[in-house]
Amino acid sequence: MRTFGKALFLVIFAGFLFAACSSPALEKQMKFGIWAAERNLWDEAVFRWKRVLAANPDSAAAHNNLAVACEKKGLVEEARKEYELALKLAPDNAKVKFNYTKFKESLGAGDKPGPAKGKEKNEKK
Amino acid sequence: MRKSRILPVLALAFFSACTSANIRKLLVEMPRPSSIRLDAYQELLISDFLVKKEVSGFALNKELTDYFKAEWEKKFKGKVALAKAAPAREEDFKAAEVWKTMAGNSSRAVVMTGQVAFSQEARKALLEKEPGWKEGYFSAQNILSERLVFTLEVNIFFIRGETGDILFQRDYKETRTYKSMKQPADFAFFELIQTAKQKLFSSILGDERFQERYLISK
Repeated sequence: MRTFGKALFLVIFAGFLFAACSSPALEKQMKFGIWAAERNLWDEAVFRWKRVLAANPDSAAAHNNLAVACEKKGLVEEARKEYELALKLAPDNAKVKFNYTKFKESLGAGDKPGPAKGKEKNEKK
Repeated sequence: MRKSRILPVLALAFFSACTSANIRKLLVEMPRPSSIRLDAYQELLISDFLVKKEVSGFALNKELTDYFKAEWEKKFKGKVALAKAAPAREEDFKAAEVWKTMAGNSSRAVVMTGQVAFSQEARKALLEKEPGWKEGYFSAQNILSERLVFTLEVNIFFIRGETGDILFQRDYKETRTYKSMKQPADFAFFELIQTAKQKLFSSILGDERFQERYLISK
């Protein structure tokens, strides 16, 4: 009886683990996308993350990853839109915030309306 | 007693399954967007620069405009031409009519102009001379040394031909020090303008830089 109780507990725990770690098919797609991105295969990565979003449009992670891919492809407006969606879905996610801050920084003067102005100095000996 | 041993193990399994490898840090070569859409124009007019200071014997404006013409011809897909009209005063850069007239009010033309200062200066400094083995290691002495310092300051404007609006404005200041007091001004100029050009081109045309980004799997 005690062994049965233990086994039941383990089965329930495994089920809980499985459920807590979200849908494995989508997670596989997400991870495949990351794997592709790490190998500079950004089109493949975008395809995978778009599949995740088709099944789960509220995935902040997929929006974040897609934003990074758009940034990489030079699609500034699309990247901004995706980052904003990711932040809307996960406003406290430090990594998404980090990415968005860096994205805005990289835009620099181009982010602000009006003519680009600035100063650059250099001294060499 | 047994329960207390299994619970931490299960908790660890839970956390490791759900938190490990959820985040990947990547160093991505990101394109930096250009400040202006130069590909929207078919003609780049390089106007004379307002020369504020120059080294005698060196035709600063001619060298500068010729240099930029040659460099833009490599990068700009349209026509690059020199326009002979230098603004007389700093205020003229904001006088839209001047630039509209120069570009013939053309929506296809963009004007590059600006002001430039190129100067050289001899500087003296006391430098500590390294003692040789014959002189002994405690006999360091100061010697008076002269250096030639060249400074190039360029303020560049890109102006829309159709409206005379300033699209882009940036100041570049480059300084280089030479040990040789006989360093020719033209050699120094080309070294300095190359550095300024690289910065200008990366601002105007955009470039790629490695940046950190996080990819999230959950």
